[in-house]
Amino acid sequence: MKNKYLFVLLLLISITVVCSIGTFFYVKLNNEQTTNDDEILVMTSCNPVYIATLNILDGVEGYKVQNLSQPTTGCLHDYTLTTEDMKNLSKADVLVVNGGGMEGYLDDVVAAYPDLKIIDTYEAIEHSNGFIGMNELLIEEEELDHDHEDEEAHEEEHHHDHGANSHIWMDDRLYACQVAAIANELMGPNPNREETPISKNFFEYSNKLEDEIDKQGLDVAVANENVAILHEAFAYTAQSLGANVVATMDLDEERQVSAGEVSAFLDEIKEHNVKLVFAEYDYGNAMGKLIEEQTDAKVVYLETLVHGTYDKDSYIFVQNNNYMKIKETL
Amino acid sequence: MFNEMFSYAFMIRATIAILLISPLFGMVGTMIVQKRMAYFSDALGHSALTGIAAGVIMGIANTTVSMIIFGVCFALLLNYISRKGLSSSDTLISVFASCATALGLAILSRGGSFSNYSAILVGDILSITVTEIIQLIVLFAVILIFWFVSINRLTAISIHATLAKSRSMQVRVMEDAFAVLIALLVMLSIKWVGILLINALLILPAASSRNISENFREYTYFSMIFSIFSGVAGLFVSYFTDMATGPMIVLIASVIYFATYIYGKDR
Repeated sequence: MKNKYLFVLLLLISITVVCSIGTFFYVKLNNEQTTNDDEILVMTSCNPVYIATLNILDGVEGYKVQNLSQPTTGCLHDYTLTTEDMKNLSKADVLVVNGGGMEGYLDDVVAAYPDLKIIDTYEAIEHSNGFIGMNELLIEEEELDHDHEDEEAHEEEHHHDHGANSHIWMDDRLYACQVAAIANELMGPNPNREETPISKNFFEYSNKLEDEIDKQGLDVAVANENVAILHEAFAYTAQSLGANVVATMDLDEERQVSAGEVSAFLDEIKEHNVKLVFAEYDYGNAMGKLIEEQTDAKVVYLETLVHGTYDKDSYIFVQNNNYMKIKETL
Repeated sequence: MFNEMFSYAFMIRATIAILLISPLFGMVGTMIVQKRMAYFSDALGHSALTGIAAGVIMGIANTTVSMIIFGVCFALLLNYISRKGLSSSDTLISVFASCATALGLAILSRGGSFSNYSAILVGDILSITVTEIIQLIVLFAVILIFWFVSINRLTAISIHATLAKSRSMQVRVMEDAFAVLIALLVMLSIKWVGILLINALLILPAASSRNISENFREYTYFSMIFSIFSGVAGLFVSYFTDMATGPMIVLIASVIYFATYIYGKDR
């Protein structure tokens, strides 16, 4: 009997030792640089607001910008925070979020870190905080023709999940508003805010966006044309070009489309004489081939700026690249 | 290292939750293994999806309530049908579990939006809130009281139901009460542990303990020790390695199982 107790004791001690040694080496190999306590840590929830914040705080002393770990696949809506994210958030002073229901974990963060200042860019635009008329550019999901009835029950659980299409950065006018909202909140009620480095960066970046984003005449060529989309983010791309979205099928890695849905989508394309379909390559490739086979429409594969690693000029580069692909297809 | 870990409120909450859930799993798991109800608890875990779906259809914002109601009804229905003896219990459980899971998946995947619920498959103990910890404390108290009041009768029934009946024990009531208890435990902890792993946490500590125990007292104590140890060690390792907590707990519990299996076999 004594042997048994000794065995259990030794077993638990061995597991503890192995786990401790393994964890120690794992942590040592993956050790990341820590933030200086004097710095204001600004966390961002996703790549678009990360890029915006990077530009606003570029070279500004006393700030550090860090992005939450990004999902390698799938949509941000379903992303759950990792332990590393939770650790970083507990040290953070500000969290910049896209908002509009994009960050499904936001309620948990608000509950867990009541002192964390949250800059919600969607909310700033929605409530027209200095962006007169821009809230009219926000697209409601109800306007898109796919079924979201089952999300209704969840609306109360989410901070902003009110049927909004929250991929607002895909319209460069709304992205410019996001940049302004972040800069505005970071500067705070400072009487000399115009002279601050943040203000200088904001004006520089805003001018850069205006000067360097090149729609290559698409806002004239595609204006009032009918388009179809295979990802709801591209509703904003279409809007920024003045095109009408007549059919939407939101595809991701977990979405199973029914035969009826596909045929209805193809019928819409034919009926409205759609020539352009905007899709994300990873999830829309198979459907794209089918559309090109069955209709006269051409499928353009665009980027949504959600996955991957980006630097501060990525927004302009990706948007220009998207516009160039559309132009080449025409 | 540990000072830093406990400076985060979410880690304190997660540790408290683990210290509340794991002994319950260890304790209740012994009776599940003893009564050969592993498949039953697995079916209950899978039926959580249907509970959520029922909540969505009825417009219940807090789907935990609909999960509990559905889980309790599902457990009682399974017991009732099993007693009728029209088919073997594993076949019946399989039919009911598949049917309930398919129904839940069909409803939740309506419009292609199952991804909204996929988080429940693996669970997330790090996002547990104070209110939810209070729910677990109440559950802890309820199960503890039930356990001390009914353990002798449950053990007698698990050894020989007919003999227990002849001693004026209310076998049906006890079986139903135990099924409701499992339903409550599974439904209230599934959000933190995940559908895919909850049964492993219920079964592994008890099965490991059974490999080396010689009496029921030892069986229960070892099971609780293994469960608490796997839970706490899994949480700490997952914290430092940034991996999901549930799978890490199950991995450690599995190591314990294999070690006790080898030890028990050679005794």
